[in-house]
This record gives sequence, structure tokens and C-alpha cells, in this order.
Amino acid sequence: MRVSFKWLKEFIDINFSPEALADRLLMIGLEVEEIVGLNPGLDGLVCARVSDVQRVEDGFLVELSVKDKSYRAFYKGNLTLKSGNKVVIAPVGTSLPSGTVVRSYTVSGMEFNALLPSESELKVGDNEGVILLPEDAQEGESFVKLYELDDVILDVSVTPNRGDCLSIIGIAREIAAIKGIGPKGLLPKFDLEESGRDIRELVDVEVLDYELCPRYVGRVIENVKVGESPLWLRRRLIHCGLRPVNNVVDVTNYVMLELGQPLHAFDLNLIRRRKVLVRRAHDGERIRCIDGVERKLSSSNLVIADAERAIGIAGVIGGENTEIWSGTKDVFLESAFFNPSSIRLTARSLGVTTEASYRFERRVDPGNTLFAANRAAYLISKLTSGKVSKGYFDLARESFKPWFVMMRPERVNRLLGTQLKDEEIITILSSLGFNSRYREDLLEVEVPTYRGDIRREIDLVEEVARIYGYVKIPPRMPWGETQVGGLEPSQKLEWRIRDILAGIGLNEVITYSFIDPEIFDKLLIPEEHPLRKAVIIRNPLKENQSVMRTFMLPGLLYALLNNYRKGIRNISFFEIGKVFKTELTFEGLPTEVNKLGIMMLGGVDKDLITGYEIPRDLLNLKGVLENLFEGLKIDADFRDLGEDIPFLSRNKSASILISGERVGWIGEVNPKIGIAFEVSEPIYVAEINLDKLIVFIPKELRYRELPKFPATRRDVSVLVPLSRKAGEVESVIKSVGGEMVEEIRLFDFYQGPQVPQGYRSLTFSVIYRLRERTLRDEEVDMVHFEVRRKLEEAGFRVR
Amino acid sequence: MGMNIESIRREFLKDVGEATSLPVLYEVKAKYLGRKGILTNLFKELKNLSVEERRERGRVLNDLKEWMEERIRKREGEILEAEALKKELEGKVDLTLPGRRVRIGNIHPLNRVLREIIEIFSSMGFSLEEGPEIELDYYNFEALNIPKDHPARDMHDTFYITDNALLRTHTSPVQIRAMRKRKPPLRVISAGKVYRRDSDPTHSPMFHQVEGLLVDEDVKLADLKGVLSEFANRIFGGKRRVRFRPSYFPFTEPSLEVDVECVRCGGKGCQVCKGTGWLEILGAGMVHPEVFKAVGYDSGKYVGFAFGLGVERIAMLKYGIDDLRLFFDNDLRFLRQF
Repeated sequence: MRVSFKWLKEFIDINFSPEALADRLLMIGLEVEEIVGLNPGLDGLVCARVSDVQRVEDGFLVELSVKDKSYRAFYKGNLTLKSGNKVVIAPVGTSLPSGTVVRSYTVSGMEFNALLPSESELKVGDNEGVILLPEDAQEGESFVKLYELDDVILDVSVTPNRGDCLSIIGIAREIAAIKGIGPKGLLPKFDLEESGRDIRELVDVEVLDYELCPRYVGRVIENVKVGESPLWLRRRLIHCGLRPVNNVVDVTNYVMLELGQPLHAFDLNLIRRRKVLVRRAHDGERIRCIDGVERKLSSSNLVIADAERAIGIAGVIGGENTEIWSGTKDVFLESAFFNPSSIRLTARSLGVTTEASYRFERRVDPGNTLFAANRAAYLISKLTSGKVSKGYFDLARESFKPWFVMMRPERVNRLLGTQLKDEEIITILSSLGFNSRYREDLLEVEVPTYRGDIRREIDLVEEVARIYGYVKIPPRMPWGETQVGGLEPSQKLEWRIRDILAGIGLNEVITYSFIDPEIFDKLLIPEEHPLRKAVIIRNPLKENQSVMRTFMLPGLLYALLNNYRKGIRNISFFEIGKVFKTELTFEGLPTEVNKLGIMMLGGVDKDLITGYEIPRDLLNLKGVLENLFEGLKIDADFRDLGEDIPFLSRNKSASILISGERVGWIGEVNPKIGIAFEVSEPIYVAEINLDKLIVFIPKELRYRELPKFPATRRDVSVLVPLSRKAGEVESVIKSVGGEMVEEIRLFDFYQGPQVPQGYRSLTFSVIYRLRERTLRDEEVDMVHFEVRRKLEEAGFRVR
Repeated sequence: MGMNIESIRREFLKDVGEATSLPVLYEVKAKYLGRKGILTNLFKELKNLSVEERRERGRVLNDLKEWMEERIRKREGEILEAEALKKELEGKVDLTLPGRRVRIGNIHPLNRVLREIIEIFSSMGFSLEEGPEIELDYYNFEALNIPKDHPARDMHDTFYITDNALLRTHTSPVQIRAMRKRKPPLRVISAGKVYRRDSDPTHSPMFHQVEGLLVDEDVKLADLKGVLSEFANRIFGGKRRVRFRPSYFPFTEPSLEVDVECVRCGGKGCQVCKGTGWLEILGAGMVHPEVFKAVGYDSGKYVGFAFGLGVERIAMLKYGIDDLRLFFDNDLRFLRQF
């Protein structure tokens, strides 16, 4: 909320700077987001009296005087000035917001020494013409003064619980608390004179729904002259961010800013049958509002209506049909206390937020409804020379009086850690306008009607803390039962994975959990595939962020593309995060699964010095996983995919199994997809279900005794058809050797001229060892012979 | 015979001197001392001599043999040394050339900071608790004293999945889950992704928060100040001034916000702190009695405090990052800096 420093000072003495005030307000919970000075160096501009206006070629020659000094200004364009008018001039030597300094100038041989700037040129308003000042402006009076540009605006951010601070008076009350003087006597003083007819002869008001409108006050001002508001009023509104409209509407806005009570003025003569009804809208009822928009209402919306139709959406926006216009003669003024939630729901459902609805939602002071109506009626009659009718409507089922909250003074110290005496607490409370007295050991605290947020003891404790100052509360370290902090096994696993993968050269990325549903098509995923069963966001920001990811690949792919398009080629990424499935948990929420995704761009690494080229391919990605599993002390197998993962190349993919359970997959992204994304290198990808993996992480590591007895190594070379896998050879060796086989290591791989077409030659070295004794050569020979035999039997040619 | 020994000795010296590599030297050794070597043959001839001659001759040959062995050992040393010297001098390496390596990777800066934050609270006895990212409206709002029509919902632009399920807008629902699961005393933190329907240069629709909760019998606002001051000092290093000021959250009361002395200018005022000298780093407060009511804790007996902080904000301040979007662009040139 924009708060005028000058206006504030009309209510309370502030003997420090706006900056100092901002600091103090901050420390009691009102954050001043910005302090805006309004005077952009317009000091040289003054009020001048027009002494003569002559038409000249291309415009007007305006003769002006400022006391005994005379000025001449040339004005191009339409001009309706008369001598005697007061205007703003920029004499030679003054500087303008555009940065230029006014110099004397010549038009058609005539010499000029002043300009007639417009509000828009001076950046103080929207008007384009000469700035006409009120008749009573004094020659030579500073423009800055006249336009109140010597004011400073504090942009205060008010938390949603403090609707009472959305006004000058509200902020003044907070300052009164800071100063310890209390809010008594802060309200504006005025004498309302009722000189018109009795209000009941002019209008009838009825509230049909007291739940949504607990209090409704109506007043009438007769015989108004609608016109432009005086300069000071217009300036105040503009400085506080509102647009002046006319003297009636401006007053309602002014009083809203001043007291926090939104008001609405209707043209009484347009209210049909002079009947004002506060009722729920009919379903489908329509109303054209003062912003020119027609809105369709439902029975959950409250409206102000006349005998025939809605004339305003209660607390939100008025209707065009009863708007104040230049011919309005009599004004019906409304001041009400509407139900905050109802206003909020209406404003939300209609998608409008107004200064009024913003305040009603945050609860206006129900004890101040009549006072605000009186204040506005007084100002309207004063500015429009209208007459305030006798009497008013004040419709309510209950009376809005202060309430009482009981408080244990020692509770303050117990919760805050302070050592405040009762008297100090009582003093703080009274600085806020809360009177209190003892009831046995308790304090009975009387809460003024504007503090709807104070309902229970804890609310009072906070008030005491706030005004006493959080700064003064001594810090302490918590004691009580000591607890051991730490991580859950799943988090430990995540961190271990990060350390390992980053250590072997992968970069961690974080991508959005929501993805583009179009990715499913782009990745060739068929309809009905489980990966397409995504949790859908009902109100996404963008269509391409509208579903929750079901797998890790999309985010990784876009991270890769983002780098690829910048010319980066050596890319290996991983991400740990959740994927979301539509199957519901026992709580009725989508299932979340923790996943690790890895993506690598294929290519060739070349040794700079020797020139050797080493491919970066799918086996590199497998190597990453092997390193990961070794680091996690898990044994994993890579087996046939066993299911169709549509975006992987069929013969370049595998399942990852641990103790027979599938925990993930690895493979090459179908090159068709890469090409569609304009990536010519192969893309490798793996995904691991961490919730499954974690089961296999050894809880404790156990040391295994180092071997005491020597090992024996035997090599075996086999020709393996391309259709069969190296893993099969290993399986045969393992099954024959049993516990005698300590390790099988592939140490030679050859495919080429010396090997028959359709085969590769693989040489394994087998390490035989027993833990309890030395193996005899004959034993090893026997087993190894059996290995060779079984391999032949299995269809491999042993060389 | 005496002459013969002399010439053998001369011949040997010549051979040894010409041997500049170990294999040649070992040939020389074989030539004289091997099974069919010159000296070995001379020893064999001894049996043809008389006892006296044999003793005399034997002594001479033994001396000669020892002498030869000594020469060969010495020569061996010389050759080894020469070879080492040669190796040392050959094949210069220019160490300004790039090293041959597997380039090390990186942990994402947000997770780096997250780990640091978790470690700090962990050392103060907080343990990590997890909750779902798609959360029930009840946990995200209602149980936190934010009913449907509450204006505080304006502070949370929410992505909805259904009427009751949403992408959590903060990590605070984990507080509720933790309290429903366990009895006090309680010290938990929770970290993770949160979502708000807001995207501009200073807001990301997905970001990270860390939430903390401590509940016990004798807990005071003073403790909250102690814990959070300690945190601020440890995460930014050094003794920094920390400022606590009132604020509002529906699920805490009193509520407060915590500012730390600007990490860039040290409080003098700069662009980072918008001239105030202070940076807001977290929100906190004493757990609201309504929240205790929702989880069935006795607010007459127990008091608690809770706090929440934005990981992106801390990371930006710590590393001087000025653009939020960098975190999710995953540009390697950015990632590799961490």
C-alpha cells in the first residue's frame, strides 16, 4: 500500500525521516518495500498569472507575470486560457524531467523565455495540456508545493492478517504503538451537519443476508454538484496510486485510504423505486460494472440491488447503471462490513481484485462503518456543496463492540524467553490501544474492533513480542533431550551416488518435474504405454510443462540439447529425482518413485599426444554403472531387456538386474529420435529405480579375510558367434568352476581377419583359488578341462 | 704360464672396458667365468699339476677370479648408472601440456548448498524427514491453519492435480506428517522441491526449500533465535549480524523473518541488498496452537518452532549468482564451476 508521508503526519507527529520510519516499521512487521520521492527536480517551476493571450502564427503567445516579473511563452496547439488564469510555467534556467534545461527561444522573430509544460511532460500526471492551477494559487508559489511533490511515498507491504493497516490511520496507529503513546485521538475530527430531508423519505434499505453482510450503513447527500476534485485531493489520490474521477467518487476513495473502509456512491435517482437491497445474486444474473465489463453472477455472490436489478457486486465493484456521473444530483452512500471470505470467493471466482475487495477480504473494521460513512458524507457535502440528509440506515443483527482475551502474563516470558514484568506487558498492550485489567492472576485484555486478528492469548504474546522488539530477546541454544541428527538411508544413498558419479566425471543436473506431453510422441512411445500414464496438472503455466514426468529421460534430453546447441559435445549428465505414477497411494496421492537417470552423448575421445582414438559409447555408460555398483558394493547383471522400451535401439539395450530383480535399464536412444532433435551422435541413457536399488545396499560392510593361499590362473580362448553374448561364456565357466573360480576376466577381444566370419574371439583368464588350501595343479587342470569341454558343448569353439 | 695370466688379465680388462651394456658385460663374464670360460678351463687344468704347483697356481687363479668378479660388479654399476642417466635425459615432458585424465564431474550447486544446510542442522540434532511432492491440500494448507478462503493462499500460487491434491507449495506439510507420525520431543528438517505457479526472472515454478521443526516442553523464541543465528553464521561463514523481525505466516505465531548482514557489502548497502545492508534469508516462528491441534499435540504442554528457507536464495547469495534461471538451464559451463 502506498502511504503518503505528509498525510501520515497530519495524524501523528513523526520526528524522524521517512527512512528512519521505514526501519522502525520494519521492526514491528510492516515492511516498507520502497521509499519513493516525488520531486524529480522540478524546483524552478512556479505558478504564474496569465496577463494576455494572443493568437500568432502556429500557436499562441502567452504573456505571464509572476509578481513583478513578466514572462512570455509560446504555445503550440489549442489553448483556452484567459487572462487571470493561473498556470504553471517553466522559466528559463529550469530543468525538465527529460533532462533539458529551458533556454530562451525564438519563434517567428519573437523572443520567449518560458514554457508552459503539461503534467505528462513533467511526469506528474496524464494530462497533455497546459497546467491550469486553482484560482487561489499564489503567483510565484512553487509548483512542487502546489502539487505536493515534496511528499514522500512509503510503499508498505501489509501481511494478510493485518487488514487494519491498509489505511493511513492504521499505519498511524502502528506508529503510535512504536512511540508508546497509544492510538487515542488519532481519528480525523469533523462536524457533520445534516441539513437535508429525512433519509427515510428518500430511500429504503434492506439487508436480506446478514451472514454475508453483517453491517450496512447508508447515507444520502442531496443536491451535489459533480465536478473535478480540488487539486490537493487529486494529488493525494494520484500519489497513493488511485486515479481521480470526480469529487464524489474521489471522496469515497480518499476516505478508504484514510480510514481503510471502502465506500461506494450510487446515483440515488438511478436506483429504481429508491429501494436498496443487499441480497445474494440470482444464478446467472448479469451486471455491467463500472469498468465496462459485464459479469455473470451466481447465488454465492452478494449483490447490492434496487427493486429490479443488481446495481453493484457487494464489496468488489459497482454497477454502471447507478454510477455517479456529471448530472448526478443526489448520492446514496454505502459503507458496509461484508463477510471477508465471501468477498474473497466472489473476487476470485470473477477474477477481479479491487482496492475495495482487497480490504474487505482482509476484514475492515466493523466498528467503524458508520464513522466512515459520516466522514465521507461530510467531505462530499463540503466539496460538492450538497446537503447531508437527516439520519442514516445502520442495519446489523449484532453490535460490534470490543471483545476480551484472557492472558497469562507469565506465558509471554515462557514463550519468548524474556523477563518482562507485568507492568511492561500492560504498557505495551495499551500502546496498541488494548486496555487490560487483572482478573485474579489473569489479564483481561480488551481488543478494539479493528484488530480482528487478535482472538487468543498467543495473538497477544505476538503483539507484545513485536512491540517489545525481537531484537531484544536474548538468543539461546535449545536444550532438553539431545537428539542425534542424521539422514535416512535413502538420502545417504542419494549422496553416495552423487559423490561417485561426480567423481567419475558426470555432471549433475536438475530439471523440472513437469514435462511436455508432446515428448511421448517425439520419443515414439505408443499409445497406452505405461510411460504415457502421467499425472496431469490442472492449471499448468504452459502446455509444455503440463504433466509430471513418468521417467527421467525427457529432462535429461532437454538438458543435453541445451548444451548440444551451444556446441558442447562432451556431455554426461545424471539427475536424481522423483517420477510420478497415476497409481494412487493409500492416501489417494499419485505414487512417487525415486529415480536416477544418466545420459551420455556418444563420440570419440582422442589422445592429444599419441593420437589414439578411444570411443565413447554404450560400454562407457555401462562402465559408469559398473563403477557406481562397485562403489555401492552391489553386484549387478546386465541382461536382455525383457520388455519393450520404445525409445531404445532394440539390439543396444539391456536390463539391469540385482539378485534377479530388475532395477533399471540401459541403452542407446533410437537414432531416429536423435535425428529428429538434430543430434547426429548416439545418445546413451540409463535409468535406475532407487527405491528398488536401496534394498540391495549392504547395511553394514563386512571385511573378508585376504587370501592366504596362492591362486592359479588358466586362460581360455573361445570363438563366440556374434549372435551370442560374452556373458554366456562367463556363466558356463562359473557354473563349472563353482567356488574354485575366484574371478573371470576378459582380457582379449578380437574380431577381424584371423577369426572366422560371424565370430569374435574372446580370451578369458580364470583365476582359481580356494580359501582354505592351496589348489593342486592336477585339480585345476581337471576343472579347467571340464570348463573347456562344457564350453564346446555349449556351442562355443575353444581354441 | 705367468705371461699367460697377464695376457688374460689384459684381454679381460679390454673386454670389460668395451662392454657398454649389461648383455655384453654378461657375455664377457661368461667368456671368462662361465662353464666353458677361459678361467674355468684354467682351473680344470690344475689337476694335471703337482701338489705344490697346484697350490701356487690355485692361489693365483683364485685371486684372478676374485679380481675379475670385482671388476665386473663395478662395471655393472657403471653401466646401470649410465643407462639411468640416459633414461633421465631422454624424452622431455612438457608439463604445460594438458594432463591425461577423466575429467571430474560436479554436484549441482543447489544440491551442494542443500547438503551444507542439512549438515549444519544435522549437527544440531535435526534429522531429515521426507514427504511427497504431490501433497494433499489438507497437509499443504488446511492443517497449517490456511483454510480455503484464507488470503494467505494468495502468497501461494498453486498447481492443482485434483481438488484435494496439489504440487506442494512449501515443505511445511512435512511438519504435519512428522508430527502425526511421532511424539515430541522432535527435531526434524525436510528438504526438497516445491512448486508455485509463477515464472519470471526472479521466480521459478519449481524451487527448493528446507524446513525445520523443533518441538519440546521448554522451547522459547529465544531458542529459535539461537538456532537460526548459528545457522546463518555457519552457512555464510564468519560472525555475521543477524536480524529478526516480525512477519506473518498462518502456521506460526509469533512469526518472524530473518535477515542476515549482506554477504556482499557486509552491511554498508549495495546492489545485492538493494542498499539496505540486509538480506532476507528465511521465515520462521513458534508453531501455531491450531497446528498442534491438527496433529493432536497438547499445546499446553509442548511448544515448538519452525522455519523455512529457500535453497536457491542461499545458493545465489553464497556463490554470487544473479540469475535464477541458471540453476535449471543446466549449462555445463555453469555446472562445471561447482
